[in-house]
Amino acid sequence: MSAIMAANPRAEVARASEALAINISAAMGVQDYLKSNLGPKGSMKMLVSGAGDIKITKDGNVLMHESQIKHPTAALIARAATAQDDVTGDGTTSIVLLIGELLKQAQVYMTEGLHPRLITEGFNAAREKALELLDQMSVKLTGDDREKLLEIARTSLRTKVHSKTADLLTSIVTEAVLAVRRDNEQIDLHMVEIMEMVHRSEMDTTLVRGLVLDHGARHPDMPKRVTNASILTCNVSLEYEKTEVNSGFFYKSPEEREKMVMAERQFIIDRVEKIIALKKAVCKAGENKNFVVINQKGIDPLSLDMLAKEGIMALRRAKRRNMERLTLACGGIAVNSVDDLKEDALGFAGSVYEHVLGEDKYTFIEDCKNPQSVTILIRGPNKHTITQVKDGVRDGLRAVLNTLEDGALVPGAGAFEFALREHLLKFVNEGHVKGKARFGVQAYAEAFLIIPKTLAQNAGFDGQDVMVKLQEESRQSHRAVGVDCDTGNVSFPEELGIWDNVRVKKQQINTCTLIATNLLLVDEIMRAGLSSLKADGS
Amino acid sequence: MPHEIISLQIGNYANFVGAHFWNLQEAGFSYNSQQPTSREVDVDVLYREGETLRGESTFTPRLVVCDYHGSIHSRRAIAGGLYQDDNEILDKNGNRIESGQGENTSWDGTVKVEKQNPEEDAPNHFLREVRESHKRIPVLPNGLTKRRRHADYGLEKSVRTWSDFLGVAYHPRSLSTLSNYWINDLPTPFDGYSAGLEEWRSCLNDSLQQNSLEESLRHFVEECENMAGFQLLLDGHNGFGGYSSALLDHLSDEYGHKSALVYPLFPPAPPQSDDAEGNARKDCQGLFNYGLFVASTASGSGNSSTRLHSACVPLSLMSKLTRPRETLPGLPLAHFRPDSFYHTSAILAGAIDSFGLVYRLSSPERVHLRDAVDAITPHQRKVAAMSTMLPFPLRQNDSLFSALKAIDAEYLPVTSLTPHVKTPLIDSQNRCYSQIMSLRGVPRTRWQCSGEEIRSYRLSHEVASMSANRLFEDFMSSYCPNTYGVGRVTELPCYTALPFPQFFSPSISEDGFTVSSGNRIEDVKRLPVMAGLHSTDKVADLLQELTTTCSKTTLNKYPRLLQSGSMELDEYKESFERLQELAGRYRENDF
Repeated sequence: MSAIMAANPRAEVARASEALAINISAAMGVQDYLKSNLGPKGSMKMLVSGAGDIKITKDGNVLMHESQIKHPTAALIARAATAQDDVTGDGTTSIVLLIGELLKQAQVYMTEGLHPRLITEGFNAAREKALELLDQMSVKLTGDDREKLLEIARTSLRTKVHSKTADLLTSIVTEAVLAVRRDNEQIDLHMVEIMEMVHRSEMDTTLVRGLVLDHGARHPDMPKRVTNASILTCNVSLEYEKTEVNSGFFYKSPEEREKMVMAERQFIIDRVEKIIALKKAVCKAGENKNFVVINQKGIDPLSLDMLAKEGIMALRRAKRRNMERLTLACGGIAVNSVDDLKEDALGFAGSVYEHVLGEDKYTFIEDCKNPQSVTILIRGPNKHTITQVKDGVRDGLRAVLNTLEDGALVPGAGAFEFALREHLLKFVNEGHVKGKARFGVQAYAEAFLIIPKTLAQNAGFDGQDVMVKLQEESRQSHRAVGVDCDTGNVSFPEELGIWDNVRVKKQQINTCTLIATNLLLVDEIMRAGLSSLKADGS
Repeated sequence: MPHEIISLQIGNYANFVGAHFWNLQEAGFSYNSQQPTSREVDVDVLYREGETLRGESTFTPRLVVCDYHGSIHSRRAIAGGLYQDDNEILDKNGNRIESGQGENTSWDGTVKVEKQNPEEDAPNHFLREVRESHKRIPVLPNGLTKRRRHADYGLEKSVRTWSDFLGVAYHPRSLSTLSNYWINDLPTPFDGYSAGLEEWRSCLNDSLQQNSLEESLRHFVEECENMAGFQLLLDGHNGFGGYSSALLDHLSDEYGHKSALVYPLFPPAPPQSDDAEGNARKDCQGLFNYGLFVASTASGSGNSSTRLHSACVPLSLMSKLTRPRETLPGLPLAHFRPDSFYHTSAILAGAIDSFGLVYRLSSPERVHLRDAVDAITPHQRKVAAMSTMLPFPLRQNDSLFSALKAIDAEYLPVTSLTPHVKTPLIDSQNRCYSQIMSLRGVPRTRWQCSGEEIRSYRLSHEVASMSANRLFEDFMSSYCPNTYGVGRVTELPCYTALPFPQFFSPSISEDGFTVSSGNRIEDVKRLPVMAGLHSTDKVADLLQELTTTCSKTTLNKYPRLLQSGSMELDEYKESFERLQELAGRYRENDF
């Protein structure tokens, strides 16, 4: 009997082989769930929530996040997978597949009596080798290799959305990342604003070299479209508010109240007049120049009225993050007090216009001189299409960013996984692994085949057939070979431009080995809480 | 210019109260052009006008709700069929017809359908009628077939969650859910204050994910011409407490000069399981979370909480939160079921709605939200108590004067809805620093004394010609003479038609009047209600109780509290010290 049973007879315990069986079946369950979604030919899942909302996706991260997983082991794997996404933005499905497969392969040896400890030793040795191979196989980027960036974006996007959409998004995400990149600085993806619009179809998604705000001018007389505009970005309240003094005083009559209000209003009026004065100084009559105010704080109707009379377009309550983006896109400095109003604090945009859709207004700020912040405007006929494209765009951006940061890529289409297997088997056969740990290395090698196999299966081909073809080709050509999902034949991913991120692979190798070894070494699962611990003692 | 107020409902019980609250609002509207909606109350304070993509105009609450992942059951019903996507194909019951054709632009591979916890059973009787009536506006209360009575719907049995009795359409932007916590999630329950803090932060930090609650809030604020502030309902006993306190910090960062009325709720205890130890732990943790929330919002020394101008009004229908718990013995004229979410939330919604009239009036008599918050938080005493008389006893022919006169009690006979603040709220032993009260549902024709009353009570001309508000304020000050008080009387009654529960004493007539012989057949349609906020030193009892229990709690018993890492042991201790200090503020002599 388990030791804890002596202390707490109510604890639930699963031991040795039973515990292992629980873990393995959970891991394979999650694997089964995601298996069909891998790769460009993988199928989609349509999630229908209790509320009837639908989500159509094949993004492993989204699936893991949206599914309520109750089994503790499965939840552990799901968490590891979503952590993978947090770190690298890709590779969620693969990691789930790998963990499941590692356990499955290990089980084969363990039913024959091999101790899990030996297998995990093999796993760890194999992991070292895998990282070595990853280094060998990675292809360095030379300078600004735009082609390669486009290719990695395409690879990533094709596994998330329809290929037509993916091709459209490919250039959008690449251009977006390159636009926000500045020399010798870390790239901040926050500077790419993602805006969504329920309008037309997802093929109308565009990259706006400027900013799109999800609100418009609130005054009917304000211009709806201006050109040649100076942009004032500010964080100044232009809204009358009651004084902050903690006094519970009330007014005796409405007139008295009005008077008080007027006196306090003057304060705000002065601020607005300062802005108007600046406008007059910048936009001299006859020069066809315009003025736009974008404020993070509120602007009340009276202030709007004053600004409208001067032909100023004013937007209130801009997003906090947009204040930073605005100055990067249009130039200028965000002003925090009307005393700082100066001409050189102003930015510039060639055209600013409003687009109205039902009750939603959008303001486009375009034709900026040197935009260092851009907007990806996602359009789609309905909510779930937009969400799907948005998830794709997010991963595409990450893929391009990862590439720039790594400075290297590895061939995709299962090429790395396949090469790893060959490499490991050679390693074992040459006698570098002593003792029974070699079975662990073998299991590891076989497990990685799950990726090319599943890629082939999802494309409608026989996994083993394709594996055989791969082996033959690689023996002859000594090149990285991958699965061609269109023909079921061997392809050379380097030629086709199918790449994976180095850091995604690195993270995958580390995480899946770690989780799998941990799960293998579990020999007892106990479920007991403090409450049940005490229940019978008192 | 309306002084807009944005409502926030954070948590499951808060949404129960909110659903009743909006039903009450909606019932006050009239869609009949012959009988326009009462002009007495400015509906634009709480509601916004909008337009769908098809150009239909809509009128929906300025509201942001948050609940567990997967808890919003019939979103289609909540959005009331408004703002549907153009290419959605719906059958006549509002259910989606599965169709492959719509998707072929975005995918030509295979699609596998995974249905997540589909709605187990058909919408209940009430929802079905609401849906039908949505198609031929008007909605409530005239839209529903009047012949049916409340009892016919069996709502007590069929209500499982708040959307089951919600008769109002929310704007789709209003809805948001937690991203990491599911309803009834056993492995990781959302039961710790710090888990709530963590949840908010994880939403903000998520690199490209936008916090949908924060986004929609900003949208509603941007629309307002002259926002007065926020009304926040929240579950204080679980992780939503922490979530809300992070939200309040956010509000004070972004909209620091606005005011907020914060109602932390404590729901009735769920049925206890046999595991005594587990129950005790759960109860204790609930109280602990509640204490932390009150400490963070109400104590002045918090980093940014000072900037948001707020008052905190703890509400519950339990009069004692510590073990053994006690529920409120009942209201004099309403016999609710103390363990039912559906019943208890109705009482709270009735009180909150009735009190809210003071800042929703359209006349210049309106009390600005800022003034109201100012008035009940004298000297940084940020916690106030709420009281109500639901229904307010008003006989068929009473004028306002004689109705108030008829309440001939030693103490102000209101029931306290704030736990640990004992009824009577005001007696000779304690002090009340300030109060704001609202009395609704007294017809305007009764505001003046009748000639008969003037004669029989020998009223002076001065008294006889007093305005209703003055009369009411005089009544208030007769119970606590030296207290600063504001009172407002409104004609608009509280419409208690379906789906408001019918738990009233038989001596209430269909029109809400108190009658001697009770033989009511139909449902009570409208009610006069009195509700108010009071800053009294009895609040110290609540604060003291929270401090004592929380400091006694050994944190080591609750590993999850420390685990999530957003709060350290010292921070907990500091919170309780602040609570203690706050309690002390109510006992000081200065005013």
